[in-house]
Amino acid sequence: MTEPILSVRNLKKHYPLKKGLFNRQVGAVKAVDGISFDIAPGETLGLVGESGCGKSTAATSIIRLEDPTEGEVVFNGGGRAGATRREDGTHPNDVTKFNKRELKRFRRDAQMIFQDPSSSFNPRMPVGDSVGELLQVHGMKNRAQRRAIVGDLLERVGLSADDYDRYPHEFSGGQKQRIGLARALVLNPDFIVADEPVSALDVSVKAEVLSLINDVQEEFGLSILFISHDMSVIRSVCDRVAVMYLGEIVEIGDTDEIFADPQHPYTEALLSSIPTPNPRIRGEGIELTGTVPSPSNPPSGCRFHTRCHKVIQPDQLDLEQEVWRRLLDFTQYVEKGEFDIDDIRETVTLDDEHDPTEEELKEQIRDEYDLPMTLTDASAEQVLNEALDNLVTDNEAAATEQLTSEFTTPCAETKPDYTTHGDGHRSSCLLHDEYAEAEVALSDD
Amino acid sequence: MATQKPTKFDQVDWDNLTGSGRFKISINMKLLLVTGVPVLLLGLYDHFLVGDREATFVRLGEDLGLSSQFEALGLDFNPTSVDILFVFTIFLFLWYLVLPLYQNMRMTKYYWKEFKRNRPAVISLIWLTIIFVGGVLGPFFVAMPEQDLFAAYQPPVFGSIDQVHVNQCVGEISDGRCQGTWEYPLGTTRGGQDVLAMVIHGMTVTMQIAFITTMIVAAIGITFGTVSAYAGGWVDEIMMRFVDIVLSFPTLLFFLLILYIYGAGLGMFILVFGLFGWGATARYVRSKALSVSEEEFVKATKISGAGTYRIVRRHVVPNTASSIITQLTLIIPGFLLAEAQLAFLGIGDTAVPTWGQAISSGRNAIDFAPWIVLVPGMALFLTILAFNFLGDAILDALNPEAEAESEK
Repeated sequence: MTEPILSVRNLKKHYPLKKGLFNRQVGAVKAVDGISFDIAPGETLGLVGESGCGKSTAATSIIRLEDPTEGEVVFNGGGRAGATRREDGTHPNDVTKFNKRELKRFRRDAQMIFQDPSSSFNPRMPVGDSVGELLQVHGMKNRAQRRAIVGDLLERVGLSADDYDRYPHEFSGGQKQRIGLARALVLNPDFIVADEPVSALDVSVKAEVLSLINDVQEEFGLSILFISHDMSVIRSVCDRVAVMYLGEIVEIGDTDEIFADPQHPYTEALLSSIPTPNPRIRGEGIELTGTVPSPSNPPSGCRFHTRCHKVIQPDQLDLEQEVWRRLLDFTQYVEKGEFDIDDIRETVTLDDEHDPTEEELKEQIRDEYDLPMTLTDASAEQVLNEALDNLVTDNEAAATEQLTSEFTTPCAETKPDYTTHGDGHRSSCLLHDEYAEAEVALSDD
Repeated sequence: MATQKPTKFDQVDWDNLTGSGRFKISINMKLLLVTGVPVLLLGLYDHFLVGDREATFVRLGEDLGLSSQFEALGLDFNPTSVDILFVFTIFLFLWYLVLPLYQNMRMTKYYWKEFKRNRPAVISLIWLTIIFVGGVLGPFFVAMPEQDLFAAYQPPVFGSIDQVHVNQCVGEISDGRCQGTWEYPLGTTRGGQDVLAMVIHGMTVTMQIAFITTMIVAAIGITFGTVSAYAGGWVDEIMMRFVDIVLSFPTLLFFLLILYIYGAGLGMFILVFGLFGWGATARYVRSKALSVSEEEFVKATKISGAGTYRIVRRHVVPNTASSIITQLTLIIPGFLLAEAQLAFLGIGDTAVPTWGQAISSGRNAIDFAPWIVLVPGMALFLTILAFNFLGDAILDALNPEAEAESEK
């Protein structure tokens, strides 16, 4: 395999949470928590995930707009190829260890396109100056030469050289994003980070800008890290995709393969969210339950287990998958103290006006949380019933105890390793782990 | 050209880039150096070499051996240090505010289009231009108002006053009332000083206060605010607490104290109020700078490899400018009012003819000679109103982002 232009290893970015008079650190928001991937020369890697999963933080840490907490970003572009590790294990091309001079040199080889075209240009500077400023910063003093280069570049991205003197407010969003691309290109970099470059644009303009990015990439052999939350955009521009969830990469592989055969349940859910023009297949989207957990206190084990529709059942239980998911959701509600018996009581009283009996309350709870009136698994039913008894008699602690001790998933206990599905396609889910396979074998007996 | 410089971005050989020049000084800086430095040198010369009773330019002519030429040209001025600072500030204003407007014609047209929507502001601007031109050029054409007891209480043109109040009527006397004349178009005071001349010389003082305090406040406020915003951490904390001290400092009492110990002229007034008036501006600039520095274009500049100074100078400060200018136009009226109040109470600088003094000189005669109070009073009132209108309009005009967003 040829040397990757960029290889990220175990990159972490934690924002400390400080509190109190002396700014004591009480925790950290783990925006990016150990991601690793490679980008080959000329390749586009898509980084996809929902809002707040750490995509943009990953981008700014890689390009060192922010200093990462931990990890290594080796950049081999811009004539740095073929470097070998030093004796102490550090890499001479490690961006996170670049000094000021090396960093400025790195800026010439790696640039970025920003998300919001309306705020990515200085409103008080002609756009030509904004683009030409990069040349100036890197030592091109000749004003006429700067103007010629920027004018030529503006023409290449589909604008006119006369637009040099115009101000950002005189352009549309799509035009500004073209200028944004021109700014990223003007130093002739090898690598570009595109942070949601089209998410603020209309559909038609989106397609134009995407095809422009594609053309430019082919012409100049750029490598791109393309960040998006939109799977359809990813499919149209990326060679490979990395799916992020809560600061971790849960699946990475070739775009075609991931779209055809997603291995991680989260990827499945994301893919099912792509709107399809075919009305017959509509409505089969996977709906993720529960809220996105906070990155300052991520769930144990597999971080996705609190919302996963394929969450694994313990050996002793045999429930329908959907019911099992709801049962876990219900357990989470009770555990977090979000369950309120008075609400239930009120709902029942509203319907018919007498003091509700315990049975009525229990029915109402099952109704509210979409639990069936009787679970198919007898032992589970017994535990649930006892827990509900405790809940209606205001004994929440005992109910929590019962629910959490009985309804646990292996996903919450074991952190899944990456499983390789061939040809660089990896995912981290317990379903693919040997552990899970052993389980399946046992239950088959 | 000996070697053709590449004009395509992918043909630039960055490692062997030969710059055409050394450190370049902008045209604005050059103009400021050419005009401002002589003025400052003159100020130093005036302060250290010229005696108290000598006129600066007369002495300068002697020292340069050009007395006769100076005399022929009528160069016999004796500028005070406030005058010299005022001239310097005007140059600063010309090269760093007016000239950039000309250099960025496109943006200026846009600003003007936005600005002129606001009619009161346009009228305000015209009024302030009159005050500015009158203040700068007026003293060269209109002599300082002088005492002339025979011409006391002359009424303004088209006005009249009961004969008993005047010693000698310059105009005609009809029905026992003295009629106004064009010799004193706005009438005279008890001392026979021409009110028009007083108002014109008052314009100079007004503009001096407005310009010099603004310069002091802007210089300290912008520097303090941006440094505080960019330094962050405990530096920011200390600087902002210092601003709290400045803000809660009893400037007026401090000024009175200085007044009783050293006696205080206009220069001292400007200095004290300027040096203690920047607190709010610094705070404002800091908050604006903090919000601007979160914008994507600042990140984009950072990623281009630019240093912090460049980012602050070229991107952060220009984008805080609209709020700074607005804030400054809104604090100028405060200084003007403070000066007028002190002058009215009789503790201002008696050597300079301010509007406040003119108002104060007419208060005993308000029942029969109201013009003495009304004319400078109206001038002061309108000027303060104009600054306020202007501030509002500038805020609206200088904000292309808000405009672009509202069009969406």
